[in-house]
Amino acid sequence: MSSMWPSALASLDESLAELDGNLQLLEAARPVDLAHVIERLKMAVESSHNVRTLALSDVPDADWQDREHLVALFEARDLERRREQLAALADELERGNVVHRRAARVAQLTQLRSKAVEELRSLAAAEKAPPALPGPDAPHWIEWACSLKEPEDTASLQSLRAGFSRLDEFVAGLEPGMWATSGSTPQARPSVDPAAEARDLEERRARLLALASELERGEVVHHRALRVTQVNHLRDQAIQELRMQAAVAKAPSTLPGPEATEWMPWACTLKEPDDADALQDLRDGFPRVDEFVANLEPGMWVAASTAQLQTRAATPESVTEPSHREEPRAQRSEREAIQAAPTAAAALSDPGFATVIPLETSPKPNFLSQLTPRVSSFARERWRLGLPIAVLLLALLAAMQWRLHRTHADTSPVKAAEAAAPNTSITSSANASAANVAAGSPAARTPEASEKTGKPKDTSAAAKTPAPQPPPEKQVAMLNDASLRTPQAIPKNAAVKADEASATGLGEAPGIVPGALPGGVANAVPNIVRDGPTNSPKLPAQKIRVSSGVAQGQLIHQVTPSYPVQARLAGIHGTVVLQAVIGKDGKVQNVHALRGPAMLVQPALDAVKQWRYKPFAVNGEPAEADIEVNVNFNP
Amino acid sequence: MVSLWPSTINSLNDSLAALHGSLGKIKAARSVDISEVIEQLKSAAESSRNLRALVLSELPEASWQNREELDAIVEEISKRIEARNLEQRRFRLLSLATQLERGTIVHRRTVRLNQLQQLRDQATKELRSQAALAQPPALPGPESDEWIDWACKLKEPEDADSLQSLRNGFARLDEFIANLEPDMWTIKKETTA
Repeated sequence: MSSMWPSALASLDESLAELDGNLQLLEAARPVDLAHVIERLKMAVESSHNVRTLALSDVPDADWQDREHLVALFEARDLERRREQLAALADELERGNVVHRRAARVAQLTQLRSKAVEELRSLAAAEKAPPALPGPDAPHWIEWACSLKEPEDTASLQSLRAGFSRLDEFVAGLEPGMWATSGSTPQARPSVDPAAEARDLEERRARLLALASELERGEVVHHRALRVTQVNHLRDQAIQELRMQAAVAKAPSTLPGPEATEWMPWACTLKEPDDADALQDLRDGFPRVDEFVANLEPGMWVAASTAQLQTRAATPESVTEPSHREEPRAQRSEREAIQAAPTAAAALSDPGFATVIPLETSPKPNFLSQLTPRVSSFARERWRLGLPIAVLLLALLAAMQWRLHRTHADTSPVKAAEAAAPNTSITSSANASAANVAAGSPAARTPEASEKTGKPKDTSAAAKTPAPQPPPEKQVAMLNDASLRTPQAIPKNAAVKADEASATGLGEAPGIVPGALPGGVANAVPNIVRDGPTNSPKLPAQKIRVSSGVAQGQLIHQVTPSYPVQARLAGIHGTVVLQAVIGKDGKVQNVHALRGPAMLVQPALDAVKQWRYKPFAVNGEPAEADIEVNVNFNP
Repeated sequence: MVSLWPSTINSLNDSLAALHGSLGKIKAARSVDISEVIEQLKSAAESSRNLRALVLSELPEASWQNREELDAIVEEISKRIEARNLEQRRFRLLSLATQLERGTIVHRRTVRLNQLQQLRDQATKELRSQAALAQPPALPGPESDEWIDWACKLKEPEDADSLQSLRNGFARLDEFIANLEPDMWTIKKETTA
């Protein structure tokens, strides 16, 4: 009615105005069309009746004498109704709930709602006339207000802003779907199909579970196990949070970002203020996930599908490496033992090493400058935990190797060793480890070095394993396979010879070399047991295969490759993988490229040729070493 | 006709006032009797038509657009009527004076006859004197040829108003008539030339 009475009165006044014109003609004794005037009179009476009905419908016992009184009556009723409307909206706001996936947002909006309610009640109770609230009645008001947009609804918005600043602020922050009346579904979604909503809910839950699985399958990689442990702990909490969110009865928060397989790279590249919204959503809905990814740098995550590729791409100089959270213990210990070469820390602390780092593919070149203290710290922190495990695993490996040697020694040990060596990084690593232990370097002989040899160590150096490696799972399979594999062609007398080998003992087995074997065939067994009472004859030192991590530890002089300007301008970057032979004198004798960008090969070759290593040794005898070197060029 | 002016105008004004009262109720959305309002409207229209007819009878070429212009025309017509009334009043006084001069007083006694002759002369002078005024008083009674008969028949208290009017405006004429009996006055009939 408040919007009807002015128009009804206006209609009446219009009829009266035309009638009044005819009355003026009569008053001036001028001719008029009486029939027309009578019609006008009837219309005026009809309009008057409408106004009267309008007034009485709202206030049945209303009484008035003249027009002024009637208008005052209407205005008073309007004022009363306006106050009622404000109070009703205040009640409506109080009855409803702000719905949002983020508690902080709900709290913020609820606070705004409280201010809006207070404003409405204050205006309703004020002595002076409250401003007119635009829009429909209270039950439909919020839906209406949430649909206002500029510039189409500028007038309503301006009216709202001018008269109800708090209310305006509240609805400005309220999106459709974020308001639910008491005991009802959100108002902004009245038309949502329940089935579709259920599907949406399921999809949302599925996304959370998929990401939880993705987080479980992936690996946190870092040059410090402590950090890996910390981040893994955060990951576990994030996974738990995701699963809890997916399991709750109410609608889980919406996870921002892409699908699970692409989620981690996306999340790790979020930055403020560019991605403030996504970060806020993540923070509000998934604080644990947020904390996890906040602690995760882009290079610290290896997705399950790319873990192997990442491992293979690791460079000798890179200090980051998968932490092998889910890696089989045997494999991990083996690698850690290899990477525990005491020369690594010394080499990394070489200023020359630091100078070459910026050119290489480490995801965070600047943190390489911090590598030396981290490695030292890691060596101090981790050995207590890893030492017993490593010793046990090495013993197990030694037993398996010994069994293999026995099997092959009957036919051609050298050929068997050569055939087994090149394609298996595990074998190569074990070999390299043994080589280092046997290298007899001063560092290796120190008590500290002895500890490092046997305990888990910073895995950064091992990440640079040059040979292609299968995924961790495959590595386990291969390792087990290598241990238990049935020979494809078993000599007829194999069993007999195995028995003989067993009977004669390890060191006495003919053809078994207790030190490094040609081609890098696992020689860990002799090394592990070298302190035992063996009389194995010393063989002439031969070329050994050394892992890039071990080789890095032996590096004493490094020349930084020059980055061709044309390549840099053309955006050519990447890793040049070189194969080199390190002479007994530690010089690089023969080097050639295996792969890498063509424009970068020659600079890499030129640089590596000038590198110098500490001489490698097998059982104290100088030996040539076959190594792979990864040279990284980053623009 | 002169008396029609105020009555017609008043009638129109009264009708319009009633109509405006009803329209006020209509404007205030109060209940009204529509048939009564229509009757008021018709009455106002009738009064308006009468007034227009009066104006046009006095000034056939008159033209106006509103009430103010109408009022000005009515005022002009009123002045004309007033002037005409004064002239008519003056004419009656002079006509009566002439009539008194032409008549003859008849009485058996000469003293009485001379006395009445003298009163007649004073009355005649008074009439002529009054007719010379800018606003001559209105002489009650009929036209001059019937006036002596009418005046000699006036008697109190029945004709007190006319006698009072006569006494107030025309004291000498009143004294002459008061001494004149109906059979004491004779007048020669005017012969048509």
